[in-house]
Amino acid sequence: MAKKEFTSVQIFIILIGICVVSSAVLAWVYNVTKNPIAEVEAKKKQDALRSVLPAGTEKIEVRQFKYKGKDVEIQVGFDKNGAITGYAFESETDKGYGGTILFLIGVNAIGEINAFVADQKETPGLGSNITSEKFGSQFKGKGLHNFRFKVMKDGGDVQAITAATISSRAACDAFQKGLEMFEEFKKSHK
Amino acid sequence: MKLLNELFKGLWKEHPTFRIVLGMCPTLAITNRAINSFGMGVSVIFVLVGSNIVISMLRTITPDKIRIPIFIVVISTFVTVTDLTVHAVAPGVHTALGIFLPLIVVNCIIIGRAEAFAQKNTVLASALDGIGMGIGFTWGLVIIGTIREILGSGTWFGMQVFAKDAPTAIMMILPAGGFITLGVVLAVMNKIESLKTEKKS
Amino acid sequence: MLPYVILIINAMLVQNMVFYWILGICPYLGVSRKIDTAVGMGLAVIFVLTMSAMAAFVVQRLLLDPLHLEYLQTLSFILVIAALVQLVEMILKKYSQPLYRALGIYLPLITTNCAVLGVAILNIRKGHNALQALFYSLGASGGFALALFIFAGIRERIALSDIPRSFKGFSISLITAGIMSMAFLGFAGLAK
Repeated sequence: MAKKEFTSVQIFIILIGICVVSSAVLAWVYNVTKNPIAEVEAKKKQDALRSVLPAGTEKIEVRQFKYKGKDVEIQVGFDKNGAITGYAFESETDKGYGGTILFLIGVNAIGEINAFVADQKETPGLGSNITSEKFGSQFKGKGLHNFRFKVMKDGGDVQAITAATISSRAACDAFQKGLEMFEEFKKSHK
Repeated sequence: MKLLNELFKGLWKEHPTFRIVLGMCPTLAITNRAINSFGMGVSVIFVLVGSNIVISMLRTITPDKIRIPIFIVVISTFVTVTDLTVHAVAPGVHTALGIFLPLIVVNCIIIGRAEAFAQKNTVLASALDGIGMGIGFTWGLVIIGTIREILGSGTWFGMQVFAKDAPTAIMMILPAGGFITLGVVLAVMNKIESLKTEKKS
Repeated sequence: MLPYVILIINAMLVQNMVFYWILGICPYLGVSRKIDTAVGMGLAVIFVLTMSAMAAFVVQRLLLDPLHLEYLQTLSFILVIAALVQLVEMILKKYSQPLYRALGIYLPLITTNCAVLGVAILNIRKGHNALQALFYSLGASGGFALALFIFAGIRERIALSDIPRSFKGFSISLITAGIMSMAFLGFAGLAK
């Protein structure tokens, strides 16, 4: 099959034409998937919040708070009678083995840790176990007033993960920073 | 029948990963879990078949000088469609595949088939070529994913295979494990091929 | 100054393109047979990757973000890369024959080097500003060149050794790469 010879004008038109059609297709697919994707992301966030807030939480409201010059969101959980079950907030540490770790920490009404989830890229099987039951369970019911958030090696109360001291230390850093911020929040929202 | 040959060649004889050695990056990167391998495989099948069909349809009006940019535009359109669809329909897979979903656009298998086949063949043949190559790529990924997941996490598609606290070879789910698994699998494939040719002679 | 040095160390060693992100494997396996071709490809990649990552960055910040066209990222980035590679090839051909003969053949391969598109996307995903993007791109491409160079040295030795027949070629190369990946794990925690 002989190759057709195209003029420059034809080449230009064909290229532009294909780009236009592609962009149109993409714009259409984007519009169709925009809402489902937004819903998926919102559900992810809600599921995470529900998993860290204390049991019995029916409604979640957000409070804005200014801490160290930054705007922070504190999620407040209410039970079906309108009483506060607990709070949830994000805390970030850059001391992780694989970089930044973002924690979502849920505390009860007096600032003791209930549960937490983490967005992390720590070493699978080692540092990534900071989200495991084994490591996490030692934090339940602990707050700044009854626990030292440092690994035992550094004089604290935290049992670090074997061979994953860096990740364990990073978790402590995130908890300490997050709880301190929460203390400030409670003081200004008496 | 010749058309059926186009479909089946990608499954073994001209296997994209094990024989032609293309598409290495995803093969090594996302195969730490079988479900991720499967998700990537299906995404690639969609992009490969789609772009093969469109590129074949456009082959008579594709000037030779700008064929690579045209391939790129077509392929990246399909890739973005896949990315958005997976995000909306299977968010877990989307997060797991991460940056490798948009990177499908530079997967040498897709551009390779466009250049070597789709621009010179009919739409039906190109579609079958895409399906065969895609399925071949997928089963290759799943095999490697299976080996790495079972040895590295003790699970398969998330289901426990070994006892829950049994020690596992963590190395398998790290990048090094990917390299080594693929290297060993390639050696095994080579051995199988050489045994077959010995038997014939 | 220090944060930028840490950025480069991180991009080059701790999160090495080949051994951590697993990007750029096809050229990594394909062009690393001899040290001089590896060096040529490495330099070409540093040059093209950094330029196209910065060009892509500009496109994202000045075009895609303000107009909310983020879904066009894949399409626009790969077009930017392909166009840049074409441009570099044309300029080399016209103004420097020796350089063109040395690097020219690698240039088309760089378009499909997933490390190039990968770094362009990573700059956006990591939220870098322009200066960070520049240093990250330099470090990442440098890391790729480093991996390529070391690997070529090893492969030249392997070519002279007695490898079992089934393992010859890509098989032993991949296993070697795996061992190098393990070695590079030792860099973790360096950039703290």
